[in-house]
Amino acid sequence: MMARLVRSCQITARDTLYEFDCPELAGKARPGQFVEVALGEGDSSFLRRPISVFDCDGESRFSLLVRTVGRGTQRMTGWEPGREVDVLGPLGNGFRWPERAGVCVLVGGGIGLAPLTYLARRLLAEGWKVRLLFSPRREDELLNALPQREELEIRCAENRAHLPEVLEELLANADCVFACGPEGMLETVARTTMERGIPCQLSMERHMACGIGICLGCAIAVHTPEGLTYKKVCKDGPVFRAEEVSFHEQP
Amino acid sequence: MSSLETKLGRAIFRNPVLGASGCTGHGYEMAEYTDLSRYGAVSLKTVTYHARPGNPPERVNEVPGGIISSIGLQNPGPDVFLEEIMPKALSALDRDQIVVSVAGDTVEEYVELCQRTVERYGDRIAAVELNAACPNVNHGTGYFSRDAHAARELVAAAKGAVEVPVFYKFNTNFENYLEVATAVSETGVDAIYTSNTPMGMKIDLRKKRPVLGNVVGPVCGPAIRPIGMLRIWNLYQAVSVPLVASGGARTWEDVIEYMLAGAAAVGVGSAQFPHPDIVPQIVSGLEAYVEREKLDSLSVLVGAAHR
Repeated sequence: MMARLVRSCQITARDTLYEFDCPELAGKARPGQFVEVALGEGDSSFLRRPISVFDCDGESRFSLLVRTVGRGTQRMTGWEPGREVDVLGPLGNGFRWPERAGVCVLVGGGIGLAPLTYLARRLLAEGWKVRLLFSPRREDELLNALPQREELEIRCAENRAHLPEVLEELLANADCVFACGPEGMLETVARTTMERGIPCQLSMERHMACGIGICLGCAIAVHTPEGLTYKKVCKDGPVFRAEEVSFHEQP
Repeated sequence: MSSLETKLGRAIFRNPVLGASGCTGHGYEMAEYTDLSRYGAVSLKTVTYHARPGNPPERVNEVPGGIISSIGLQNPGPDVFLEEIMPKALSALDRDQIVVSVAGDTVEEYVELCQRTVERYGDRIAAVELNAACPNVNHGTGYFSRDAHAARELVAAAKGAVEVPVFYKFNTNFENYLEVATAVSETGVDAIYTSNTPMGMKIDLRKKRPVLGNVVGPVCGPAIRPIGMLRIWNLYQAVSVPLVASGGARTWEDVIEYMLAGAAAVGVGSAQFPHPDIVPQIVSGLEAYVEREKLDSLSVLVGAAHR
């Protein structure tokens, strides 16, 4: 389907926010899902780019927060408003949370902040108290992209050693945790929450070819009752329960 | 007769555009994103004699004009395939559209997989495909692509064991591929299906390590189409069995080009990853072409570039 670029806005030296008009997609997207973006005519990239939904109004507009990491994402920074972009989605399984509102902690590492924003919007709307632990390696101004900044309790952890400390504080009377970021950080979050018996969901990342479950390219090792097996980040995830994810051991 | 109808030995397909094994799931996964009725056929993801977990991540990465990948034939094995996967494939595809791809380490394993499939679903599938092509298996299947005697023995045994049409899919990246194809053609195989993906590598500059967990993997996509074209060209001169081309096809023009080189049908693979609805688009392009060129049948183009 085609989505019309409404506006783009540079957030940091290497992160850009793109807002699209596409009721078909915005009406369906849930927090934690992603879209596959085609870079379009004039670009020689073979694959689409999988990008998580940053924010969505549930009716017509959705946005993507994109880090410029290669030629494809570099090309996107030149996109002008009004451009029609070929997108596939929404894809994958998003975050799930209890009906009864409580206290939750979101942990975002760098651009891993992206899928947590739409989640925060929905949780706040349902009466949750939302704490955000943000671990920027460089760009703490990434937080400027957050529309609900004032409504969140935000803490930053500057480095790997500091993060578990701040996380411990934020976990006090928390009901659930949602995290996205580098695997080292996710492993720390998984271990800490499991020790405390707090339900935690992780948004995982792999290189993808198709995004719809046909190529089996985005394999992730997952613990199941039948043993360790590979699942698909695109279709079975990208969100997994912390206790499912095997960070080191492979089948 | 429809002008796109395609005969591969005893198998008859509605058109010559086939979903290649490993790139089309089991058909049903695509239903939400494409019109499956427009596929000539889908070769289902290969089922192996023993379940295979597949290779460690990362498994895919983009390269110029395509991807490098190393999936490792991940599949749950024949029990789950026959009990759980086949019923879903049957609900998404018609009888004339289903090609079951099998692989084993020995002739006996291939034959048993063919027999189990045909016993259960013989009247509901179009053909079986012997996958002797997957470049990721360290032993076994590569052998049946590079040893002419073993290849002939494999195909003859499968043909003798089941009534349905049998396709032989092999890797043409061995020097003696024409000799292997010639040996296989003497078995009365219904079609020879090529896989032309050469092995490649990509290194992550930041990590200073190969990007693939398996270190190496086949390269596929438009970058390798000229390689596939030459292989089909040479095979057409060497054997008289129907040929199925694969390697980088993503437009109707690519399909016509492969047919002119000698292919009777064309497998579309990785082009479906970025564009899951690409096969219906290719088929529409072919329909417009035969109309424009006033052709009775596309089959008159097969090998036409040799004449």
